[in-house]
Amino acid sequence: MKKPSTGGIAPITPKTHLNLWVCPLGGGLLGYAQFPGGPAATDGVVINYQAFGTSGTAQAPFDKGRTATHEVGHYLNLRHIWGDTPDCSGSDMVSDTPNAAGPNFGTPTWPVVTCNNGPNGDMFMNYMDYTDDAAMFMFTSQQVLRMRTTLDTVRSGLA
Amino acid sequence: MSADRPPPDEPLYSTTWVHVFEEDTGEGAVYRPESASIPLSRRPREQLVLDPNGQGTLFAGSADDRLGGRPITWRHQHSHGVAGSDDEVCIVDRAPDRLVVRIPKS
Repeated sequence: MKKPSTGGIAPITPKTHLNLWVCPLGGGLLGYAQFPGGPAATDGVVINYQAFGTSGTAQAPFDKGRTATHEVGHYLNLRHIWGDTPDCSGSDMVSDTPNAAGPNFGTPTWPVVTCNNGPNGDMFMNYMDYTDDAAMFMFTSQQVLRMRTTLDTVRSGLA
Repeated sequence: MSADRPPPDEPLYSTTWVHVFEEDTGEGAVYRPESASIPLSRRPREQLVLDPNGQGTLFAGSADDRLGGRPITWRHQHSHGVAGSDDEVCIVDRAPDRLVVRIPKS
Protein backbone atom coordinates (compact mmCIF):
# COMPACT_ATOMS: atom_id res chain seq x y z
CA MET A 1 0.00 0.00 0.00
CA LYS A 2 3.04 2.28 0.15
CA LYS A 3 4.14 1.86 -3.47
CA PRO A 4 2.36 3.76 -6.27
CA SER A 5 3.65 1.12 -8.71
CA THR A 6 1.38 -1.44 -7.04
CA GLY A 7 -1.59 0.84 -6.50
CA GLY A 8 -0.54 2.28 -3.17
CA ILE A 9 0.32 5.74 -1.96
CA ALA A 10 3.87 6.75 -1.10
CA PRO A 11 4.43 8.51 2.23
CA ILE A 12 4.21 12.30 2.14
CA THR A 13 7.10 14.21 3.70
CA PRO A 14 7.68 11.64 6.46
CA LYS A 15 10.23 13.87 8.18
CA THR A 16 7.50 16.35 9.07
CA HIS A 17 4.34 14.22 8.95
CA LEU A 18 3.17 11.01 10.53
CA ASN A 19 1.87 8.97 7.60
CA LEU A 20 -0.94 6.59 8.52
CA TRP A 21 -2.39 4.14 6.01
CA VAL A 22 -5.82 2.61 6.67
CA CYS A 23 -6.42 -0.36 4.41
CA PRO A 24 -7.24 -4.07 4.21
CA LEU A 25 -4.58 -6.36 5.67
CA GLY A 26 -4.49 -10.11 5.16
CA GLY A 27 -4.03 -12.85 7.70
CA GLY A 28 -6.03 -11.15 10.46
CA LEU A 29 -3.26 -8.61 11.04
CA LEU A 30 -4.40 -5.47 12.88
CA GLY A 31 -1.53 -3.22 11.95
CA TYR A 32 2.17 -2.54 12.05
CA ALA A 33 4.60 0.34 12.28
CA GLN A 34 8.17 1.35 11.67
CA PHE A 35 10.58 2.38 14.41
CA PRO A 36 12.44 5.69 14.07
CA GLY A 37 15.48 5.51 11.84
CA GLY A 38 14.04 3.26 9.15
CA PRO A 39 13.70 3.95 5.42
CA ALA A 40 11.75 7.12 4.56
CA ALA A 41 9.94 5.27 1.76
CA THR A 42 8.10 3.10 4.27
CA ASP A 43 8.00 5.36 7.32
CA GLY A 44 4.67 5.51 9.12
CA VAL A 45 1.91 3.35 10.53
CA VAL A 46 -0.45 0.89 8.82
CA ILE A 47 -3.83 0.00 10.33
CA ASN A 48 -6.36 -2.58 9.19
CA TYR A 49 -9.62 -0.73 8.38
CA GLN A 50 -11.42 -3.32 10.52
CA ALA A 51 -9.43 -2.17 13.57
CA PHE A 52 -9.42 1.57 12.95
CA GLY A 53 -11.48 4.04 14.92
CA THR A 54 -14.54 3.37 17.04
CA SER A 55 -17.35 3.01 14.52
CA GLY A 56 -18.08 2.16 10.92
CA THR A 57 -15.90 -0.72 9.76
CA ALA A 58 -14.22 -1.25 13.16
CA GLN A 59 -14.91 -4.70 14.59
CA ALA A 60 -15.02 -5.76 18.23
CA PRO A 61 -12.91 -6.39 20.22
CA PHE A 62 -10.66 -3.98 18.31
CA ASP A 63 -13.10 -1.10 17.96
CA LYS A 64 -11.86 1.45 20.47
CA GLY A 65 -8.98 2.84 18.44
CA ARG A 66 -6.25 1.11 20.45
CA THR A 67 -4.52 -0.42 17.43
CA ALA A 68 -3.54 3.07 16.27
CA THR A 69 -2.40 3.91 19.80
CA HIS A 70 -0.25 0.78 19.92
CA GLU A 71 1.29 1.27 16.48
CA VAL A 72 1.98 4.98 16.96
CA GLY A 73 3.69 3.91 20.17
CA HIS A 74 6.08 1.84 18.04
CA TYR A 75 6.47 4.76 15.65
CA LEU A 76 7.60 6.83 18.65
CA ASN A 77 10.08 4.12 19.66
CA LEU A 78 8.13 2.13 22.25
CA ARG A 79 8.68 -1.62 22.44
CA HIS A 80 6.25 -4.32 23.43
CA ILE A 81 5.95 -4.35 27.18
CA TRP A 82 7.25 -7.92 27.56
CA GLY A 83 10.45 -7.14 25.67
CA ASP A 84 9.83 -9.41 22.65
CA THR A 85 11.39 -12.55 24.07
CA PRO A 86 9.49 -15.73 25.03
CA ASP A 87 10.91 -15.66 28.54
CA CYS A 88 11.95 -13.14 31.21
CA SER A 89 15.15 -12.02 29.50
CA GLY A 90 13.74 -9.28 27.25
CA SER A 91 13.30 -5.61 28.05
CA ASP A 92 11.17 -2.81 26.68
CA MET A 93 13.92 -0.40 27.73
CA VAL A 94 11.54 1.43 30.06
CA SER A 95 12.26 1.44 33.81
CA ASP A 96 8.75 1.70 35.26
CA THR A 97 7.12 -1.26 33.49
CA PRO A 98 7.30 -4.70 35.12
CA ASN A 99 9.30 -7.46 33.53
CA ALA A 100 6.95 -9.95 31.85
CA ALA A 101 7.36 -13.36 30.26
CA GLY A 102 5.29 -12.70 27.17
CA PRO A 103 2.25 -10.99 25.72
CA ASN A 104 -1.22 -11.14 27.21
CA PHE A 105 -4.36 -11.61 25.14
CA GLY A 106 -8.06 -10.94 25.44
CA THR A 107 -9.17 -9.34 28.70
CA PRO A 108 -7.07 -10.96 31.43
CA THR A 109 -8.08 -11.18 35.07
CA TRP A 110 -5.73 -9.29 37.38
CA PRO A 111 -3.14 -10.21 38.48
CA VAL A 112 -1.14 -12.16 35.92
CA VAL A 113 2.11 -12.87 37.73
CA THR A 114 5.19 -13.84 35.69
CA CYS A 115 8.93 -13.27 36.07
CA ASN A 116 8.55 -12.73 39.85
CA ASN A 117 6.66 -9.51 39.15
CA GLY A 118 4.06 -9.97 41.92
CA PRO A 119 1.96 -8.85 43.57
CA ASN A 120 0.68 -6.69 40.71
CA GLY A 121 2.06 -8.84 37.89
CA ASP A 122 2.12 -8.01 34.17
CA MET A 123 0.92 -4.57 33.17
CA PHE A 124 -1.50 -6.08 30.66
CA MET A 125 -3.56 -2.90 30.64
CA ASN A 126 -0.69 -1.09 28.94
CA TYR A 127 -1.18 0.01 25.34
CA MET A 128 1.97 -1.88 24.35
CA ASP A 129 0.66 -5.31 25.36
CA TYR A 130 -1.47 -7.51 23.05
CA THR A 131 -4.77 -7.36 24.96
CA ASP A 132 -8.15 -6.35 23.54
CA ASP A 133 -8.95 -2.66 23.13
CA ALA A 134 -11.24 -2.67 26.17
CA ALA A 135 -8.48 -4.02 28.42
CA MET A 136 -5.75 -1.47 27.65
CA PHE A 137 -5.84 2.09 28.93
CA MET A 138 -2.41 3.43 29.88
CA PHE A 139 1.15 4.40 29.16
CA THR A 140 3.59 4.78 32.05
CA SER A 141 5.49 7.99 32.82
CA GLN A 142 8.71 6.55 31.44
CA GLN A 143 7.00 5.43 28.24
CA VAL A 144 5.70 8.98 27.79
CA LEU A 145 9.21 10.30 28.42
CA ARG A 146 10.61 7.90 25.81
CA MET A 147 8.07 9.13 23.25
CA ARG A 148 8.77 12.78 24.10
CA THR A 149 12.48 12.14 23.73
CA THR A 150 11.83 10.65 20.30
CA LEU A 151 9.89 13.78 19.34
CA ASP A 152 12.80 15.92 20.56
CA THR A 153 15.42 13.95 18.64
CA VAL A 154 14.97 11.50 15.75
CA ARG A 155 11.43 12.68 15.00
CA SER A 156 11.93 16.36 15.83
CA GLY A 157 10.71 17.32 12.37
CA LEU A 158 7.15 16.48 13.48
CA ALA A 159 7.09 19.23 16.08
CA MET B 1 12.50 -33.92 -4.57
CA SER B 2 11.22 -36.66 -2.31
CA ALA B 3 8.71 -39.05 -3.84
CA ASP B 4 6.64 -38.47 -0.72
CA ARG B 5 6.04 -34.83 -1.58
CA PRO B 6 3.02 -33.77 -3.65
CA PRO B 7 3.63 -32.68 -7.27
CA PRO B 8 4.74 -29.09 -7.93
CA ASP B 9 1.29 -27.95 -9.10
CA GLU B 10 -0.23 -28.91 -5.78
CA PRO B 11 -2.18 -26.03 -4.07
CA LEU B 12 -0.06 -26.75 -1.03
CA TYR B 13 2.67 -24.68 -2.66
CA SER B 14 0.68 -21.85 -4.20
CA THR B 15 -0.98 -21.02 -0.90
CA THR B 16 0.08 -18.70 1.88
CA TRP B 17 -0.88 -20.59 5.03
CA VAL B 18 -1.91 -18.55 8.07
CA HIS B 19 -1.70 -19.82 11.64
CA VAL B 20 -5.18 -20.01 13.16
CA PHE B 21 -3.93 -20.70 16.68
CA GLU B 22 -7.46 -20.85 18.03
CA GLU B 23 -7.76 -24.23 16.26
CA ASP B 24 -4.45 -25.73 17.41
CA THR B 25 -4.64 -29.31 18.59
CA GLY B 26 -2.38 -31.70 20.42
CA GLU B 27 -1.18 -32.85 17.00
CA GLY B 28 0.19 -29.48 16.05
CA ALA B 29 -0.46 -25.94 14.87
CA VAL B 30 -3.39 -25.44 12.48
CA TYR B 31 -2.91 -23.27 9.39
CA ARG B 32 -5.57 -22.10 6.93
CA PRO B 33 -5.20 -20.53 3.47
CA GLU B 34 -4.89 -16.76 3.54
CA SER B 35 -8.08 -16.59 1.47
CA ALA B 36 -10.07 -18.19 4.32
CA SER B 37 -11.98 -16.14 6.86
CA ILE B 38 -9.19 -15.46 9.36
CA PRO B 39 -10.20 -13.79 12.65
CA LEU B 40 -8.53 -10.50 13.55
CA SER B 41 -5.73 -10.87 16.06
CA ARG B 42 -3.49 -8.41 17.90
CA ARG B 43 -0.89 -11.17 17.98
CA PRO B 44 0.47 -11.25 14.43
CA ARG B 45 -0.31 -14.64 12.96
CA GLU B 46 2.56 -16.67 11.60
CA GLN B 47 2.43 -17.42 7.88
CA LEU B 48 3.96 -20.35 6.06
CA VAL B 49 4.94 -20.65 2.40
CA LEU B 50 6.15 -24.05 1.19
CA ASP B 51 8.24 -24.79 -1.87
CA PRO B 52 8.14 -28.13 -3.73
CA ASN B 53 11.83 -28.71 -3.05
CA GLY B 54 11.35 -29.09 0.67
CA GLN B 55 12.24 -25.52 1.52
CA GLY B 56 10.04 -22.59 2.41
CA THR B 57 9.61 -19.46 4.48
CA LEU B 58 8.05 -18.92 7.88
CA PHE B 59 6.87 -15.37 8.55
CA ALA B 60 6.42 -14.22 12.14
CA GLY B 61 5.63 -10.95 13.90
CA SER B 62 8.54 -8.73 14.85
CA ALA B 63 9.06 -6.01 17.44
CA ASP B 64 7.10 -3.46 15.39
CA ASP B 65 4.41 -6.03 14.41
CA ARG B 66 5.65 -6.38 10.83
CA LEU B 67 5.99 -9.92 9.55
CA GLY B 68 9.57 -11.02 9.00
CA GLY B 69 10.49 -14.22 7.15
CA ARG B 70 13.07 -16.89 7.90
CA PRO B 71 13.94 -19.87 5.71
CA ILE B 72 12.79 -23.30 6.79
CA THR B 73 12.92 -26.85 5.53
CA TRP B 74 9.94 -29.12 5.74
CA ARG B 75 8.90 -32.76 5.41
CA HIS B 76 5.89 -34.97 5.85
CA GLN B 77 5.67 -36.72 9.16
CA HIS B 78 5.66 -40.15 7.54
CA SER B 79 8.15 -39.53 4.73
CA HIS B 80 9.77 -42.80 3.77
CA GLY B 81 13.53 -42.84 3.73
CA VAL B 82 13.80 -39.32 5.09
CA ALA B 83 15.59 -39.05 8.36
CA GLY B 84 14.17 -35.69 9.29
CA SER B 85 15.55 -33.40 11.93
CA ASP B 86 14.33 -31.39 14.86
CA ASP B 87 14.93 -28.20 12.89
CA GLU B 88 12.39 -29.06 10.20
CA VAL B 89 8.75 -28.07 9.90
CA CYS B 90 6.84 -31.34 10.02
CA ILE B 91 3.50 -31.64 8.22
CA VAL B 92 1.29 -33.85 10.34
CA ASP B 93 -1.90 -33.62 8.31
CA ARG B 94 -3.13 -31.71 5.29
CA ALA B 95 -6.29 -30.96 3.37
CA PRO B 96 -7.00 -28.28 0.75
CA ASP B 97 -8.20 -25.89 3.45
CA ARG B 98 -6.25 -27.07 6.48
CA LEU B 99 -2.66 -27.80 7.33
CA VAL B 100 -1.47 -29.23 10.64
CA VAL B 101 2.21 -28.76 11.32
CA ARG B 102 4.77 -28.96 14.06
CA ILE B 103 7.16 -26.03 13.91
CA PRO B 104 10.54 -26.04 15.67
CA LYS B 105 11.32 -23.14 17.94
CA SER B 106 13.58 -20.59 16.28
